Amino acid sequence: MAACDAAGIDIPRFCYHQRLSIAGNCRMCLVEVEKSPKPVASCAMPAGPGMKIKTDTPLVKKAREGVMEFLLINHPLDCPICDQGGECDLQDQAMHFGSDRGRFTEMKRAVDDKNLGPLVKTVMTRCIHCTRCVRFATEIAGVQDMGITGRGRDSEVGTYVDKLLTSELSGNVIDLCPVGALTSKPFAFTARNWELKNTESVDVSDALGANIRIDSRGAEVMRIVPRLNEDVNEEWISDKARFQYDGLKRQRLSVPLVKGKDGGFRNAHWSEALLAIQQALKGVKGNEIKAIAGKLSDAEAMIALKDLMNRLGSGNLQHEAGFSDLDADVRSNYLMNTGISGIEKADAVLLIGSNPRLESPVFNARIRKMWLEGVPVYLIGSQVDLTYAYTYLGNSPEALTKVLKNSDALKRLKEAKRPAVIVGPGVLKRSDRDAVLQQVHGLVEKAEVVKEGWNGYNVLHDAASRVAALDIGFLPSARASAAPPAKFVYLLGSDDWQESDIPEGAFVVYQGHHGDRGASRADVILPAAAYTEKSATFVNTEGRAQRTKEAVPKPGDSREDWQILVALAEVLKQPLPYKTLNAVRERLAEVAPHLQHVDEREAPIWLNGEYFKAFASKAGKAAASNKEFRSSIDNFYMTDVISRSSQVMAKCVQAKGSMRQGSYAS
Amino acid sequence: MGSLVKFLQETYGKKSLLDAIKAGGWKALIDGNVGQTTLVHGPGATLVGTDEFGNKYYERMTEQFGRHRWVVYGNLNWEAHGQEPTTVPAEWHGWLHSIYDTPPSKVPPKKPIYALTQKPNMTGQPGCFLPKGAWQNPEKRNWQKMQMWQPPSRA
Amino acid sequence: MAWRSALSKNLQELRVHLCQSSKGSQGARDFVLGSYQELKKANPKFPILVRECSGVKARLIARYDYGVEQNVPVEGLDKAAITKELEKLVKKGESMPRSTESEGSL
Repeated sequence: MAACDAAGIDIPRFCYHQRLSIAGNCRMCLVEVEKSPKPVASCAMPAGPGMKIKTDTPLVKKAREGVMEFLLINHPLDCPICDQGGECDLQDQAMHFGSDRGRFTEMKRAVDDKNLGPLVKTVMTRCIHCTRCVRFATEIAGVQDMGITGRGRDSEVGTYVDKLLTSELSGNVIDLCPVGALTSKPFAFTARNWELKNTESVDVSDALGANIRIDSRGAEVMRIVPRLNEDVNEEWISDKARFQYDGLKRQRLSVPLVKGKDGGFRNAHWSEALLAIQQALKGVKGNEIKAIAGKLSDAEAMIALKDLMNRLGSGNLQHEAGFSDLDADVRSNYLMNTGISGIEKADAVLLIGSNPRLESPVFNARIRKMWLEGVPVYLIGSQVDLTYAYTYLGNSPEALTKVLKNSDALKRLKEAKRPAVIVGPGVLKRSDRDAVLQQVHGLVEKAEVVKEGWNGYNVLHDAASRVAALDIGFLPSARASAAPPAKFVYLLGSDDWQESDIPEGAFVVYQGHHGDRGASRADVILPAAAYTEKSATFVNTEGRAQRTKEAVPKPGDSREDWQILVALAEVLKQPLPYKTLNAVRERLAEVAPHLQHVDEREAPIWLNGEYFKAFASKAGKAAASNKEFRSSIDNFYMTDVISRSSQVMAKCVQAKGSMRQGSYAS
Repeated sequence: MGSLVKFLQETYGKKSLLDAIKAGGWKALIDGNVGQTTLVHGPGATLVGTDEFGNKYYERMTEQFGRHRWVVYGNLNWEAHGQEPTTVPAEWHGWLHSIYDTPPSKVPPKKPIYALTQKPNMTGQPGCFLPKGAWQNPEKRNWQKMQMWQPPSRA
Repeated sequence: MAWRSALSKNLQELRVHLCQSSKGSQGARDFVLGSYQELKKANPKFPILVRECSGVKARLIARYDYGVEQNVPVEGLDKAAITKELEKLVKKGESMPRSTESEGSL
C-alpha cells in the first residue's frame, strides 16, 4: 500500500494506519496482483520487484463493493445522529467504492455501549472492528485496556471489565476510529464538521508545542484536533490539549477591573485602569517594581514587559514556573538538545526526576516507541507506571551519587553510542537545584553523553512559556536579589506564584484572560487574550519557535498582551519603540534571532565543559539534600488556568479519583 | 327514539330531555361532530366506562370494525379545552383504538412508576410548550458563549 | 584584566548572536568558547546570553540601564578583536546614566 501511495494511487482502507502495526482485517485494500489466484491485501503484502499491481480492474471493483456491503450489513442507520457524519471514512468510501443498491433484508445486530470515561463517547453498534483503537492503546499509549471479545457477529471491542481508558493519550482514538463508534464526548451533538472554520495553531498545555487545528464556529471554539508534524507531535495530542477548550468559555476576563476603596472590583474603561496604575506607581522606586510571567505568556508580551521594566529601572523579572534564577546563558543548558524527534536515535536513556507521562504524554509515547525497539530506560525518580519498563535506580540525589560511582547504568551509558539524559522540570524547582545539577553535569561528562555530532543532554519543561522566557532573558538581572521588597508587582498571566514572591501590601496588576488566583489578589485587572485568540510566538522544549494563530475573536474589551503593555508604557511616559506586531517581532529577533525562524529548530552550541566549570564556580559547593525527586505536576488535568476552569477536566479528575488505580501519579 | 333520548340525557347529564337540550344539546344540531356522535351513531350503544375528565366511552359490537368504540367528551364546548382528544388517558386510549379488549373500567390497569397524569394539549394557551429561546418563554436562555469571571465578594 | 570585573558594574546584560557554522561567526564562536568561563568567573551573576541561529550575522549587544542597548556587529572579526569591542562597550557603560536597576550589591 505504501508503494501505491508513493505512486499517487489511493487505496481505500479502514484498519491500516501508518503508525500502527498491520492488522489486515478490514479487507478493503484488496488489489489484484498478476499471477495471484486471489486478490491480495495490499497493506499486508510486501511489494516485491517486478510485481504488477492492478487497482482498477473489475475484480478489484467487485471486491471493494463486496467488502463495503459486508461492512454495512451490521452498521446501524445512524448517519443523521452520528457525530462522524461529514468526516466518516465509511461514508466517503461507500460513496466512492460501494455499490449503489443494497439487498439486505435481515435483522442487524446491536452491541451494548461501553463506558470508556468522560472523554470518549462510545456507540459500539457502529463499530466495524478495524482494531485501530486496540492497536493504538496497546502499542502507542501503552495501556493494555482495549481488546476484542467474541467472534464474528458477536465480537465486541471494549475493555471487557468495567475499566476506563487510563491513558493521557486516550483522546487520539477519536481521530483513529474510522466510523462514529468512538467520538468526543464533550463535542457530541454540538456541530457538524462542514460548518467549522479550521485554524492551524499550537497547543500551550505543556511545553511540547503540539501542532493543533482549532475548529471554531463563529466566536466559539468547538473542538481541537491534532495536526501532523513529524518532528514534534506526530499525529497525537494529549487529552489536556484536546479537551481543555471548554475552559476558554468560563471564568473569562473581558473588562478592565479596578479595586475600589471597599475592596470590591468595579468595571472600568481602559483609560481609567491605566491611569490607576500610573497613580499607584507614584513614589515607587524603580527597583521596587517586580514582574512575574505566567505559564501561558507569549514571547511578544514578555519582551514588551521586559523592555518596560528596564525603562522603569527594574530588573526584577521572574517566571512563575520554577525558581527564578535559572541560568539562561547557554541555550544547550535548558533545551532538549537531541530534539524531540531526535531522541528516537538514542540507544540508552536516563530519566532524572521526571515523569514524562504527566509532563508531556506525547513525548512519553516517543520514549515508549524507543523502548519497544529495545532501548534501555533508566529512571531516577518516583517509581510510577510510565507505560514502559525501566530500571529503577532510586529516588533521591543519593541515588544519583551512587550512579556516578561506577554502576551498571553508568557503564551502559558510556558504551552507548548515543546516550541521552533527560532532566525533568521537578529538578529545576528544587531548593538544592544547583547541587543536583552539578551532579548531573558530572554524570554527563563521565558518561560522555555529549559527543561529536550528538548532544544527549535534555531538559524537559512543563510550561509553554518557560523556554521563550529563558531565550529572551526574562530573568532577574545581576542585582535583583539585592533589591528592596517589591511595592508594585505586575503579573503577566501568572497564577502559580509563590506566596513569598508578592509582599503583603504590594499593589498588584494582573494581565491575563482567566479570573483565578492572580486576579483575586490583584488591584487592577487588565483583560488579555488566550492562546486561541491571538497570534503569538511560543518556544517549545526543544527550542523550536512556533506561532499560534487567531481562531476566535477576543471577548469583550480584551486586547492582545503586547498591545496592553505598549499602551501602559505610553501612559507611564516610557514609550516603547514598537507599535505594530511586526515591529514587536523585529524586536524579538534583535533579542534572540531564532524567534524569527518559526517552525525551525536551531541546534544549540555546546560549550565543551566551559559552561559546566562556570556553573560550578558560581554555584559553589552546596550539598544536595536528600529530598526525593517529585514531578512538578501533581494533577495532570489541572495544571494551568485554562484547564482549571474547564468542566471536562474536572470530570476527568473525578473519574480518575474513582478509579483508584495504584501508583498512577507521583 | 327512546334510545336517542336516553343517549342525549346521558351525554348531558340531565334528567329531562328539555334540560338536556337547554344545557347544550342544541349544539348537536349545529356542531356536526357532536350531532353525529350523539344523535346518529350514538343511540343504542353500551356505556362501557368514564374517566376522570368526564369522557364517556361507548361500544356497539354490531358495527363495522373501527366504528364500534367511540368516546363522547366530557367537555363538548367549542372553546379551548372542549372536544380535546388528548384528554383521553393512556389506558382508555388502548381500549379505544382496539389495542386490547379489556376496558379499564373492568380491569383497572397497573400504572407504571413513571406515569404522569394526563395533560391535554395546551397549544395557543398559557402554559403551552415553548422552546428554549422563545420570546414568551419565562425561562430565559443564556445566549452568551462565554461566562465572565465574577470577582469574589468582599468577605 | 580589570575591565572584565567591571562588566557587571557597567552593563546589565550582554548578548552574543552568532551562527553555528558560518565562517563570519568563527571569531564569535572562539570568543564564546574561550572567554565565557573567565568572564563568568569574574561576574558570576551577570547574564551573558549566547543565542545562536543559522544564517545570522554575529553581533554583540550590550544592555545598559533604562533599556538602552548598544548593538555592535562583530561579523568576520577574530577573538581578539571581539574582546576589544567588548572592552569598548564596558568603557562606554561607565558614563551611561544609572537607574535603580544598578542599585544594590551583586
